[in-house]
Amino acid sequence: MTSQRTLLFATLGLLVWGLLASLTAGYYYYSYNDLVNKIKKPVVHINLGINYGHSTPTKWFNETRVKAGDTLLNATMLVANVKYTVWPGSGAFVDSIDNVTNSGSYYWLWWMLTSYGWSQGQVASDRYIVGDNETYNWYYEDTSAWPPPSP
Amino acid sequence: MVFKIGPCPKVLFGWIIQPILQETTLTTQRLALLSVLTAVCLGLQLLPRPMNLEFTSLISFVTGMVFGSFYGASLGALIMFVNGFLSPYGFAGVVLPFQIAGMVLIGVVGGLYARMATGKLSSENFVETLVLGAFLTFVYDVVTNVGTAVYLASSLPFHEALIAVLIAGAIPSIIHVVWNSFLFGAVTFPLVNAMQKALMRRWQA
Repeated sequence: MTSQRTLLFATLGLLVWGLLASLTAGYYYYSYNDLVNKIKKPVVHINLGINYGHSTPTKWFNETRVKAGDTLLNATMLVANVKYTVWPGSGAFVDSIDNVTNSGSYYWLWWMLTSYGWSQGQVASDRYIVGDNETYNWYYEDTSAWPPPSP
Repeated sequence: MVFKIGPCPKVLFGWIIQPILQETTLTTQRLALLSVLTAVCLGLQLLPRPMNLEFTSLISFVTGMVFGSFYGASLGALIMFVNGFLSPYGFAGVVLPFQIAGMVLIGVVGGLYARMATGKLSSENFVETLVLGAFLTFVYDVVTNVGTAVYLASSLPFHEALIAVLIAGAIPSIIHVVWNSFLFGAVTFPLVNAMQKALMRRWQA
């Protein structure tokens, strides 16, 4: 007869398997829908801002035409001179935009405008596919205090 | 030589020796092993490595099994605290207390699991530690994801942030769970046995 101990560990194993499978299904469902929405049209228009920090005003490139399926890094390279390093597993790390280079605690971070305000990018810019009418802001800012201030 | 910490002058406790050690039965051998485990664990944790492939969970769990829940939890908490500041992935920020809580849980469960041990080593033990490794790693990931959601809650409603973080973290979580299941299943008992043997050995002066 199966002991209570065996049942306990079998239940734990099945619980983890079930929850992980559900989360993975959710991830692929969301990713698929997101991608389908972003490549409906062959060309998308985005608003891209670059803020060089130190209280300078943001330079806006509104209605920038970008090929559907392009990443934020591709889009940024259309309007600015970008230097970056690719970290295996993590993606492209932007080192400089228009010769303004990461230095000390100052780094380039990207933000996206959502219905809740500015939201910091959660993935590398070469891993984010831009969507039609979305607004982004590259912000050169002091990251010594965390969370860093939004644009 | 087996040196008990207990006989130290009482005035030292609370000043340069943690008071809790006054009641401990730590011998120099056990203390040395604990120090080595802490150093190895910290070294491995701070080493540049692929994200989620870590040994801290295993070492906290094994320390909990051999030394008790308190030491497993303390080791896990200490490693995550230092990691929060010196990690190659940067400062942990708001997520730090959640990382510590997750690792404390793993150390505590290590101690509790040792109490459940039957004393006989069988293939079932390997399966049990494999399942525990998967379960604890999943719980750790959920706890740290809650921490990330707390951070994101500054720009999103908390429940939406939590769902987004859990879904976005599904693939890294699978890598983490598979890695730790393998480690816990394959290494826990051989490591615990080796540590017990080393602790039982008496050295000739």
